[in-house]
Amino acid sequence: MLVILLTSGFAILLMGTALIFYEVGTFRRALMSNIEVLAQIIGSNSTAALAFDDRENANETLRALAAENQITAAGIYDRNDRLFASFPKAISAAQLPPAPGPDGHRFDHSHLVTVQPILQDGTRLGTIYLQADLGQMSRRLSVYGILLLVVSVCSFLGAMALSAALQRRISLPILELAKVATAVSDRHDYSVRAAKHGTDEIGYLTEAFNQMLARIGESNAALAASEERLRLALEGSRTGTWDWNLLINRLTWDDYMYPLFGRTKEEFDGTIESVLRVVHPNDRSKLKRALRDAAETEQDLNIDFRVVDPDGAIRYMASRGRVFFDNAGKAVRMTGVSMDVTASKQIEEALSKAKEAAEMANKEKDEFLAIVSHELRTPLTPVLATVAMLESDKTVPPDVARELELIRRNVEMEARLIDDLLDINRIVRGKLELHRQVVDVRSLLGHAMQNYCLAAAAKKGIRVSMNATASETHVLVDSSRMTQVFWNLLQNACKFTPRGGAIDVRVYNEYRHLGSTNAKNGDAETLAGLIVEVKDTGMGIGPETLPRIFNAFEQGERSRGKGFGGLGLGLAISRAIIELHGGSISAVSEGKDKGATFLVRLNCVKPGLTTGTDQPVSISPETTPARPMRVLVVEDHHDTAEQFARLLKRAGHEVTCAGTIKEAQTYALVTPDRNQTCAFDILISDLDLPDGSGLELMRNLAQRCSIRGIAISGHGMKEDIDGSMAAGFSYHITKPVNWSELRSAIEKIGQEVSLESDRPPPRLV
Amino acid sequence: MAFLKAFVGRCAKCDLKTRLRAWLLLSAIVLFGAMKVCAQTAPQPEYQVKAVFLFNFAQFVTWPSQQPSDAPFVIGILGDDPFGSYLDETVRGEKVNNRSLTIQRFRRNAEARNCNILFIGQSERDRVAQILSSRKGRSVLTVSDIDGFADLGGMIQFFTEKNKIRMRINLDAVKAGNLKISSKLLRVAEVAH
Repeated sequence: MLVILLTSGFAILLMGTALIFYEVGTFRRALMSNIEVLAQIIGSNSTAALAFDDRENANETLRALAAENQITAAGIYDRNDRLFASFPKAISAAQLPPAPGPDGHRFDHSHLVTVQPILQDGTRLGTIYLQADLGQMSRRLSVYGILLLVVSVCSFLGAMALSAALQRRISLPILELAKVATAVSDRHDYSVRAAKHGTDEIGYLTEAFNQMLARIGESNAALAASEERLRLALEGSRTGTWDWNLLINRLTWDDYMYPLFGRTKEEFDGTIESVLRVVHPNDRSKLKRALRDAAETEQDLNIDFRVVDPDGAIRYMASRGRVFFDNAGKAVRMTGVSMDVTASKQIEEALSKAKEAAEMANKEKDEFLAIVSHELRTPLTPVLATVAMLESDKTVPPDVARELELIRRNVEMEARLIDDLLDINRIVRGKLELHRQVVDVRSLLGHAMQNYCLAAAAKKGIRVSMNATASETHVLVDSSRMTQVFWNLLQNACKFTPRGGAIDVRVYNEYRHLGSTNAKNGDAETLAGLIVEVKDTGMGIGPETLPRIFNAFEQGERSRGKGFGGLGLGLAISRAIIELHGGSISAVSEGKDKGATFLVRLNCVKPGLTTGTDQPVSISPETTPARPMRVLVVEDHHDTAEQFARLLKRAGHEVTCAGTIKEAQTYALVTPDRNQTCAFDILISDLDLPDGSGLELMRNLAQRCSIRGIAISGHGMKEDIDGSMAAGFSYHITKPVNWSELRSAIEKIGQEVSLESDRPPPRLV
Repeated sequence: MAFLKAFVGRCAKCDLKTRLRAWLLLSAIVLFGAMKVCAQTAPQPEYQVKAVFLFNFAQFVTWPSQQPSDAPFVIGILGDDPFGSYLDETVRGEKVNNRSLTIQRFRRNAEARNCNILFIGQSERDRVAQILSSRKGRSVLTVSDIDGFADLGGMIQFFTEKNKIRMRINLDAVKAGNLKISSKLLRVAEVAH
C-alpha cells in the first residue's frame, strides 16, 4: 500500500513540477511576446517624435505604458543612444541605463529587459528599452505551487482512502484466503472455509478455493476410508502385504505379516531366506521355483505353501503377487499379499473327502442298481420261458392261456421297468453308449412291431398299418437302442389307443435342399432326413402337458388315475437315445381325444457298409417254419435251461443241455471230427457259469470249429456286449430272455448258415 | 584652445606686452575668422535641426508615384540657402524608398522644377504668395520658415515655440498637392485651419 501511495505521490509531484516548468516557459514566452509587441507599438508611435525631436510627444507615448502594470521602466533613446524619453515620469535617470545596450531580450534578476530598434521605413530612428517585472510570474508560480501542493495532498489522501476501501474489497479477502491456506497446510484441516465477499473475481477465487478444499477433503476422507477398509480387510482376513525389492533382496512386511508367518519383527531380517526358513521343508523348493518363474515369465505369482509355526503347527499360506520390471525388462520389484488359508484348505480337504465319498456312494449305488436289476431279472427269465412254452402248448385251455398271457405281459413289463431304471441311470450319468452300425430302419421297425406290438394290438383290436415310402432308409444307429425307441413309441401308442383304434406307422424321407427348390432330386448335395412317424387315435396330449412329456417320470396327466402303469421313463429315454444319435423326436397332438403323433427324425446314410444285422427282417407270422438246427444250451440255472430246451425242441431244433463249460466242451468236441465241423450249429450260453465265463467257452469252440453263438447275460451294458462280440458271439441277449427275440436270432443264424454254402459269411461288427 | 595655449606658450620668452599684443591679435584673428567661417559654412543650430527635419519629411510624406523609381529624390532650395553644407552632409549616403537624394538650389522660382520637397528661403519672403500660387496643385511639398507661410497656402511651416522648432501644416494645401502626410507627423505638428 505504501508503495502505491509513494508512487502515486511521486507521479503527482512529477506532473506538478512539469506543469510549473511548462507554465514558467509559457509565461516567459507570453511575457516576451507581450513586451515585444509593446515595444513595437511604442517604437512605432515614437518615430515621428524622434524624427522631429518632440520629447513631450515621446513621453506621452510612453505614458500609455501605465496601463501595463508589469512594465516597471521604459526609455526611448535617440539614434545617438542618448536618452530621449523615459517612463514613468518620476523615474530618475539613474534607474535607466545610460545606453540601451544590444537589441533583444534578457532576464535580469527579477526583470525582463527588452531592447528594440525604432524603425521608420527601415531607417533606425532610435531604440526603445522596456523593463518588465517578473514578480507577477513568481506570484503566479507560487499560486501554482500552492495549488500543486493542495492537489498533491488531496490526491494523496484520496489515494489513501481509495486504497483503504479497495483493501477491504480485494486485499482483505485475499489475506483471508492466505490465512485459510496457512491453516490448512499447518493443521491439515480441510473443513475450514474462506468467507466469500461479493460475486466478483475475488468471490470466484474464494469459491474455487473452497471447492478445492472440499475436493481435497473428500478425497482425503475417501483415501482414509479406503485405507481403513483395507486395514480392516487385511486384519479380518488375516492377510498381510509384502514388497520385495529384488535388486537388494530386501523384503518389507506390513504388520500383519509377522503373526501370519508366526515370527516376531526381531526374527525377520528382511531377506527371502528368512522367509524360506519358516516354510515347510517340502514346500521350499516349490516356493523358490514359483518366485523364479514369476520373475522370468512375467506372470503373476500364485502359490500355496505351508508354514511351520515355532510350536510345530502347520498352517497353509497363499501368496499372490505381481512382478514389476524396469525399462530394460529386468525384474526389480515384486509385491503382493499373503493370507492364511488353513481354514479354507481344511474345508477344501473336507469337501474333497466328501466328494470322494459321494462319488463312491454313487458308484456303489450304480453297482447296486446293476446287481439289483440283474438279480431281479434273473428269476424272470425262467418264468417267461415257462409261460412262453405253456402258451405255445395247444393243449392248454383258452382260459388258462389268457391268464398265462397276463402273467407273461406283467413279467415283461417288470423286466422293462428294471431296464428303464438302468437306462435312465446311465443317461443321467452320461454313460449311455451307442454301438452304431448301418442298418435299414425298416428292419428295426418291423422287428419292434412284430415282437412287441402286433400281438398286443391284435388283442385290443387295434389296426396297425405300416407305410414305408422312403427311398433312403439306412441310418447309422445302435440297433438295439433304436429298437428300444420304436418299441417305446409303439408300446405307448398301444397303451393309449382305445379299443378299435388305429396305429399308423409311416417311414418317409425328408429332403432338405441347400439353396435348391427342386425337391426329390437325390444328388449328393441333398441331405436326406428320415422320418419315422407313429400316429395313433388315442387320448391325445393336452397342450399344457405336451412340452413336458419327454421329461423323466412324466406320463401324460398324472391325475388321470387310470393306472396306465410304468414309471414314465420311456419317452425320456427315447429322447436321450435319439439325441445321442444326432436326431430329434417330437410330439404333435391336436388336443384331447384327437390322437397323438410322434415324429423321429434321423439322418440318412448311404448303405455302403452292410452288416450282419442289415438284413430285411421278415415280418411274416410266427408260423414260419424254422430250419432245424443243432443247438447246445449251456445254462447252470436248471429251470431256465430246461425251458430253453423245451421251447427249442418244440420249434423243431435238436437241443443238448450242459450246466458247465467243461460239460459243454465235452459235448461239443465229442465228435472226433478234425475237419473243422462242429457237433452243433449254435451255442446258446449263459456268460456266468460255475466254472468260468461263457466268453471263454465261445472263444475256445470258435477256434476249433465254425459254430455260431448267442450269449445270454443279466448284463446288458456296452462292455458286456462288446465282450460277447469279441469272444465270437453273434448275438447278445439280455435276461430276461424274450422268446421271440431268441427265436428271431436263431432264425437269422439259420439263414446265414444256409447262405454260407454260396459265399463266405459276412464279418460281424 | 589648447593649441592657442601652446601657441602662446611658445612665445613665453617674449615680454608681457608683446605677448599681450600677440594674444589680442591672435584672438581677433581667430574670432573674426571663426565668425567668418560660421557665417559661410556652419549654419545656425536652428537650421541644423531644420535640415534634419527636411530630410525626415521624406520619410513621413508620401508622394504620388509620377516619377520613375530610379530618378533621384530631389530636395530643392529656392532663394538663399540657410543650411550651408549641413543639409548635404545630412542626406549624404541616405536613401528614400531606395532612391538617392539630391539637393538642388534655385535662385528663381521658374527654375525649381521636378522637386519633391521645395524649401523657400527667407529671401523670397515677398514673393511667397506668387510662388505658392504658381505651384498650386503640384505634388511638391512646400516648406518654409517664413511667418504666415502655412496661412498663405504653404504646406509646412517651421516656427519656433519655447525655443523649440515646431511645424504648422496646411492640410488643404497638402491635399491639393495630392500628397499624404503620416498621422505620426501630424501628431507632432500643429495643423493650420
